[in-house]
Amino acid sequence: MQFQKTGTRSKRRWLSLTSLIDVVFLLLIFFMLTTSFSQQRMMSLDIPANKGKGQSAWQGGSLVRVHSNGELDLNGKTVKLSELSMKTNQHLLKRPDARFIVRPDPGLRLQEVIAVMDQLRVGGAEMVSLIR
Amino acid sequence: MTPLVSVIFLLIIFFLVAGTVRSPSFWDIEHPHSSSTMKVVPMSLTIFVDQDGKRAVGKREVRNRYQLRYLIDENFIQGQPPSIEIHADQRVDAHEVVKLLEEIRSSGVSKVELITEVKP
Repeated sequence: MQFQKTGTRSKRRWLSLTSLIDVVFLLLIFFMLTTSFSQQRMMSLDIPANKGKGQSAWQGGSLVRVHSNGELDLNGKTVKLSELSMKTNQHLLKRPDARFIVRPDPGLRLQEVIAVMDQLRVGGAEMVSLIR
Repeated sequence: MTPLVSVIFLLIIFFLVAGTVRSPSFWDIEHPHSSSTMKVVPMSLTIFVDQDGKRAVGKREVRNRYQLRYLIDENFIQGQPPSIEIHADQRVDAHEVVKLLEEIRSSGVSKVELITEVKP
């Protein structure tokens, strides 16, 4: 073939390596800055019941209180956070349609309340609501 | 030079595959941790709550409940209330979030999801 004879194929450069590296570095830095490795998940929040209204769907639910010192009680009985999922499960076996109402004391951080709601869900509770 | 380019390409491909592009957020929010397994589905309205209890809807900071109500009402589509995702900081007072939920409820919204993070 013609171009093989003249050797143009080996001499021809499509783009210079230096500018390629520039672009690739730029891409690298872009991805390094914008990527996050945290995995997000959703947790559905049932809307809290209105205070002082009789027709509330949450009447008769089990009350989980979170005290400001970190203690918990389920329907008035003190439980530990590690035991909460087990107790929830036992409660659901007796009453499969049980609803749970979490009532945190003022001044508690969201993380501590979410940990409690998380344990309720681990125990199988589907309907968990927050009130104050 | 060529091995350098190969290494950099490898790194780019790593970041592309292993991570997800961070969604733009109004404030820098540390999400609470949970063991929830529900994958994130985009909702029609996003509300941010920072660690001091300040709120923002979408890209606008909200200063009072009337403004919040207005922004929620504005997002009704053919009479249907919007679904809402809440990005709340893990350090905020839980009562701020409950108050927000009450205000959301009073505007007729029923689908609200809290964004949490998988424990590292």
